Amino acid sequence: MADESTRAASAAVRQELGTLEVADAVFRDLALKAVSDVGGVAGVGRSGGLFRRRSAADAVEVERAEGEVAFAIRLSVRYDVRIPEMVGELRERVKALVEETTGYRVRAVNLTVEHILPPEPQPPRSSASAVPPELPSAPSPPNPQQ
Amino acid sequence: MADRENAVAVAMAPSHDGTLVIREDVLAEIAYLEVMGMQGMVPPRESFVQGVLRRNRPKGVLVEASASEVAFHLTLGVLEGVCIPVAANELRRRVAAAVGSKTGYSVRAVNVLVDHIVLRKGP
Repeated sequence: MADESTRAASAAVRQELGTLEVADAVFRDLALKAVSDVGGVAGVGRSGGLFRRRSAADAVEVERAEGEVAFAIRLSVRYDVRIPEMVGELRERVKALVEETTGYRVRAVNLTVEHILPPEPQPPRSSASAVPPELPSAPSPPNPQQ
Repeated sequence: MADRENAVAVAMAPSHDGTLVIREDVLAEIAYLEVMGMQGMVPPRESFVQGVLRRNRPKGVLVEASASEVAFHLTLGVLEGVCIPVAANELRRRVAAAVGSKTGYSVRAVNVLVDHIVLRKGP
């Protein structure tokens, strides 16, 4: 606690009567929340597996300067998504949520698409990498994007 | 933390019929109560070891007191939906007002560190 608040001085924002510091974990959680709200994102980091939560946190890197923040996020997408369109929405959401909650300006949201998953939601135990997408016999489910 | 042990008691200027000592713990408790009184603010995360070392002092509050001025370092979590800069300013105002009115100290600074955010489940 003490070491955290001394370390804080570097990227803290000066307000009247003191400084305000927001920990990286807050930015990371906000980014994860915004990303998971976007339809077409299958997961962040490696999907599935025992250390899913941990790997989701590792997949979001936060870089801070005074009053501004940049993200680097690794994610996987669903098969039926147009990545450039989805990315635009995703950036908007991350920017909106982070800026209205923390007051930091979002300088950049850098994205790496690591995997593409079959369109149907898979049970968590079947890993993303090996399984080829099943042939769609029925029309694919509507995109959950609102 | 070691020098903090020695500095627990802060003496105010003696008045004509005695002295007044206000312990730093009192200032810390006032600040902690103000944090808890804020809508959308929760105690910080801490490890078991930190909890043991803290003993019964309030969670996430460090106090630096001098003869007449005091500075606080507050660590806390927020709920989703709170605008952090606005809430931090409101918290400062409240801490300064409470400490000033209850103890007579003037508050030099209230430094806020937000260490986690509690997100709502679901979309």
